[in-house]
Amino acid sequence: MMRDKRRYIMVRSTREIAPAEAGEFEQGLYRELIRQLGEMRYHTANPKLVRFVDSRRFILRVGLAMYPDSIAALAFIKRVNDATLGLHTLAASGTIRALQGARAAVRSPGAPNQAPPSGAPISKRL
Amino acid sequence: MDFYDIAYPGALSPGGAQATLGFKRIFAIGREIRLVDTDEAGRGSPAGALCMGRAGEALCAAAKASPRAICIRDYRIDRKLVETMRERELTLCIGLDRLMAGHGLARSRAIYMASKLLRYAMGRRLRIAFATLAGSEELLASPMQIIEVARLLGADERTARAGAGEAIRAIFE
Repeated sequence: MMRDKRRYIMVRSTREIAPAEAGEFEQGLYRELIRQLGEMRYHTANPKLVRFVDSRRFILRVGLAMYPDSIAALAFIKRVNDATLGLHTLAASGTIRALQGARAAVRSPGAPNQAPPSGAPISKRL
Repeated sequence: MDFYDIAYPGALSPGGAQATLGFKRIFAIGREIRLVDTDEAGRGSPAGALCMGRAGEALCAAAKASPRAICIRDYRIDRKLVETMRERELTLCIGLDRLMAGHGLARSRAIYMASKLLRYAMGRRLRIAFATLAGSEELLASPMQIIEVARLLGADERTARAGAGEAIRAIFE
């Protein structure tokens, strides 16, 4: 059976997320994504918070088909678990390694692609 | 391709939101561009400013005074205003602040109105810019997000990318 294609998105929160509240934050994020994407399309996106990079940045995995809508949904989320915050998508890629190797925090979309450390593909949307 | 945004100073952190989010530059309202609100009495001259207001006579009159760009706050279609903008080659700046800050039915309605305005403006071949007009850091968005929201409103890929890039830069040239 073919595996669904995925996109990994580097997301930055305007609010720091303490390690102790990471689990709660993750569940709250999923609730907000359901609210934005709708119950019927949430399963197609199938979002999963893969890991935290630091106290503000984390990597979110979504299905490729819902990747554009997920980007927009993250822009519309302004509260998670009664805390006001903004979620900014910094970069996206087909692999986690390329995402972290690209130093997503300082790159701008459309900038010339840097050579990936291991030859892993970088999303053309960057 | 470089990307730009327009926001209030309150959204811009001392550390540099532009570098973090991936913008070449975020233009600050009140510092790098004057904002004239046509809904307020005692406003300044619209010439050389970003004019914002509800669609109507006041905004139409401001469009004739050589502003840099027009932002229709309520996303209503005013055919006379759009024609004036087309004749004078003014940029329509679609503010995403109502979409970002709203929720529920209010946001849905804003998306509907904005998409109708965008579609009409694209049909009249206006130059279109997309800006967050964010008043706080939470209401900012990255270039990727601005492009996807513009596509959500009905812009094609080229219009969306240009609207977050060269169209904004052209306002300040």
